[in-house]
Amino acid sequence: MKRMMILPEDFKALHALVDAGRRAAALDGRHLLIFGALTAAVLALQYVAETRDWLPSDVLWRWQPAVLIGFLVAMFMLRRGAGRRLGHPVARAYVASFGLAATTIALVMLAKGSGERPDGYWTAVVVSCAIGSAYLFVGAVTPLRWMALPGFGWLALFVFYVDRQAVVPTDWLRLSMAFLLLMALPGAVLIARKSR
Amino acid sequence: MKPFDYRALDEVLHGRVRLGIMAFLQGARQSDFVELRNALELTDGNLAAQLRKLEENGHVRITKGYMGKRTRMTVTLTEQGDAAMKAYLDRLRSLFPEN
Repeated sequence: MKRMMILPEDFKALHALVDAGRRAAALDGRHLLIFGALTAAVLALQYVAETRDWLPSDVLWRWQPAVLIGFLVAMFMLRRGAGRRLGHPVARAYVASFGLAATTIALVMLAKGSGERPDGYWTAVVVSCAIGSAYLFVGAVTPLRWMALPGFGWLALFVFYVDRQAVVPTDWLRLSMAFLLLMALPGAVLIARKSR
Repeated sequence: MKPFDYRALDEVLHGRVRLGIMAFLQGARQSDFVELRNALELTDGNLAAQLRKLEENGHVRITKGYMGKRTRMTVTLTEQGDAAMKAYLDRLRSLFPEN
């Protein structure tokens, strides 16, 4: 370590160390931004298509496997991007919680959707619960406390769907907004914090 | 207290290695032994000794766990440590107000 003395110049060395620590703990939010924005776009497309009778219904429902594939790809990208940094406590908690969410979504969708059109209601319930729990876990066990906020948003959506017990076309718009605000936006925040 | 009272400086933080550890943790909030050792270019023994002193004074919290077969030491900046670090830097800045 460079020798430090208590002189004005040493403040620069201290600030450089603080910045090094911030960069070390920063997560790459690109996968959240890309995944959130794409899923939001697909859901918005489903809403428009369904309300204006655009596309055959079996095409419309493709967004559900797309959500799963996107989520798994996002996790893969995160693991690769994290590289050696997977040893960092924040990265480990993040990968573990979102990996568990992706696995849960995959298992439920396989169980519920095998051989027939996936059930949109159950997808909304499971996705909102799994992603919300992942955010809350990261917010609770890492210094990224703010991540609990999108977690509460997702869980509020989960409670809403449990209460509603059905989905209507407007819900695709609602879910689209959720992916934009509660997935893509936190991704953008992570990117902004990393490059700061 | 005078504008700059050297006796008010936190003696634990004033050691340059401990100051480096605390500065890094102020940015990271949480780190592990290997990351700290590499970032600050310290030997294992030196880092362990300094971390022990910081822990004894409540500035950091150390937890030990496993990642695969390897043990992993996680170091977290405590609220007390964060406040102490800010107070320490404020006192130093009072000596060098242009910083």
